[in-house]
Amino acid sequence: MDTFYTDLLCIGAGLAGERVAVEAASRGFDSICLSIVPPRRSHSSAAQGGMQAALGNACMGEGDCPDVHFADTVKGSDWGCDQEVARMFAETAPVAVREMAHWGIPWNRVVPGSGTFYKGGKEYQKIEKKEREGRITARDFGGTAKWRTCYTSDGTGHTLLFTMDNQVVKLGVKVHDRVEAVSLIHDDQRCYGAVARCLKTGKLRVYLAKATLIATGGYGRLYRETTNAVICDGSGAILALKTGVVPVGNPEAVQFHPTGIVPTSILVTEGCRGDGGTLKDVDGKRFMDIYEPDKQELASRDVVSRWMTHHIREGKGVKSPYGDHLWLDIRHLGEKHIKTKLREVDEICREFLGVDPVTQMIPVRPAQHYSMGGVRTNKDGACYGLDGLFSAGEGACWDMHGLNRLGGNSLAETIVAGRIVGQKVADYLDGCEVTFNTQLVTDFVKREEEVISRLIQGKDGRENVYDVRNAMQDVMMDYVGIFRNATDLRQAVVKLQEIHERAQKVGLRTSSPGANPELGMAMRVKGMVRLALCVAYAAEQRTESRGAHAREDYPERNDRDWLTRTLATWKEGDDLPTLNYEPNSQVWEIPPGQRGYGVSKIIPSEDPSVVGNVEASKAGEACQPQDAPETPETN
Amino acid sequence: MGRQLKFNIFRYNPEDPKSVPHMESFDLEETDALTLYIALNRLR
Repeated sequence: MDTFYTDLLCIGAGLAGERVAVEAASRGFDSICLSIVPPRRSHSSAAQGGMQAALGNACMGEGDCPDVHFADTVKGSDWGCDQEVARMFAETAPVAVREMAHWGIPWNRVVPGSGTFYKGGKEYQKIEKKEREGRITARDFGGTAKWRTCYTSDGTGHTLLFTMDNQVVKLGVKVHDRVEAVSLIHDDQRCYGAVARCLKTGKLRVYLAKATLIATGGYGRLYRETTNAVICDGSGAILALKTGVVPVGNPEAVQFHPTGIVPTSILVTEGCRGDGGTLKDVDGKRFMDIYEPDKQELASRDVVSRWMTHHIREGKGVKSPYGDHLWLDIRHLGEKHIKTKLREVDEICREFLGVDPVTQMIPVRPAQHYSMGGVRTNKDGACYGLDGLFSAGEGACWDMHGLNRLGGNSLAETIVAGRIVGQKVADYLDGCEVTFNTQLVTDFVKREEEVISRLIQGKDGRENVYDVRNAMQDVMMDYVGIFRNATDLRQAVVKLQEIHERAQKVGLRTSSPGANPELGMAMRVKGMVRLALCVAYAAEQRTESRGAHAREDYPERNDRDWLTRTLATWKEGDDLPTLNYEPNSQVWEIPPGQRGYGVSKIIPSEDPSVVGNVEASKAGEACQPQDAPETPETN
Repeated sequence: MGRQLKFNIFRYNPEDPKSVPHMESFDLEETDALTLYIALNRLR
């Protein structure tokens, strides 16, 4: 058995994992990153738009500061985030952006002089100041008060990941690619590393570490239609559930994006609609102007996704071999605009669809996009339940996103959380000594060997692993999607419990040694179904609408009962997760209020520690749901 | 109705001593915007 010993084991080599490893390595600690793909192919590289940081250099970002960024993030989260974490995040983001510049990111810079920009399809003028020339500039993103999103053209994730990986190489962090962690080694008190499987040889390995980090990204692949890469299968959350003691926070918090292309669900940016693109149905007619006369195509991501799904359900979708879809029309923007300002969209359409967006409409439909939930950590990034276990990035529930994430805050989280958690991990490693119990290690390895041999021999049955996965993805898509209600969610839970039964009976069709993707999927699928059950069951229990979680039967945001975070754990032998709840924030710098977009009905909180010292008259108003409290001013 | 596509795929697993390098053919009906990724997933 190959055994590797290290100070820090990072499971995942995307931006968050590598950033933590870089921090530990720069403090002199030995670090190993595991990655199921070459690290520069991690899903972080798919981020296009940019990362939010309140620098206030661009003229449209003037007067911006971390206070404003903090307020936008809290509103975006629909008051579901941890405000202490959101505050730390907003304060650290500008530092992290400048640090990345120092490491070599070619951030787009302020070019002085006048220019034009589009909003709601209309053209506006702006003038960049001479004295700001050459500073890091920013672009506009949804849900923000200022232009705050720092970018490198439309490949920000790409440049960040390559630059970070250069630091990894420079500092001597070892990256073991095409290696998948299959279980954490622990004694219910402390984590000692992980059992992993080499995807090239199929052999098991042991990694022993003083500290272990989960940075595996989101769980988009629980859904059939997702903008996430095939590697985003929620493996980190699955590892946590497998321990029985580490909870997954807010699994029900799943964001959908309106414009995934059909059939591959690759994302085409919100900029298409931002620049005046329209959505059309089977009759070639617009429909968003009917559903949302005010904001039309430019309503928030969730709202547009909901109406698109509604419209398809009404039978207005375009039939295709890949299921019903709608059209995105950007032809009227003209060739020049498409080839310059929407360069990547043009490329994606031509390369992956064979569609020329200058002359043809783009087939689109809503797709799963982001997992706000993940392995629950405290503000230092330390997981609940096991000492020596940390988590960061999309895979973690840190929790700065609450029930909805703002565009540009995901990429920012990877770098900022990576920096903060990295420092805490290094502090933890300082003077840390561990005794490894070899019997414990052997037990965990034996358990995995047993799983593999049962799968190959078909001891538990011959259920086809891909059938099981597809059944799970269909249930998630059809019953735990954009619109949720008690009937659908109950059906989802019941169906997923049946699928969970089937997942225990999976047997392989091919037993060939080495790189065997069927075996990899078979080892993963039970955990994926369990995670899917966490999403469905937690969504069923959350009887309110907050952020991305939209309940048709509970349309109001219920601050009285649901200023809470779901904590899901799984006891072996159960067929449902155990759900616990904790207050979603200890600090209420901004008491709950109106977001200014989306659902406006609110059942107010009556907890004085949440709403603060409201005067008697104001408190009286707040008791009436129709007079929801105003968004407080932030200075 | 799309074209009938024939995929000739090289099969060999270097980790398996019993594996003999050989070609295998698969037939697939073409659909709109078919990429190699979608085709391979469907064949699997």
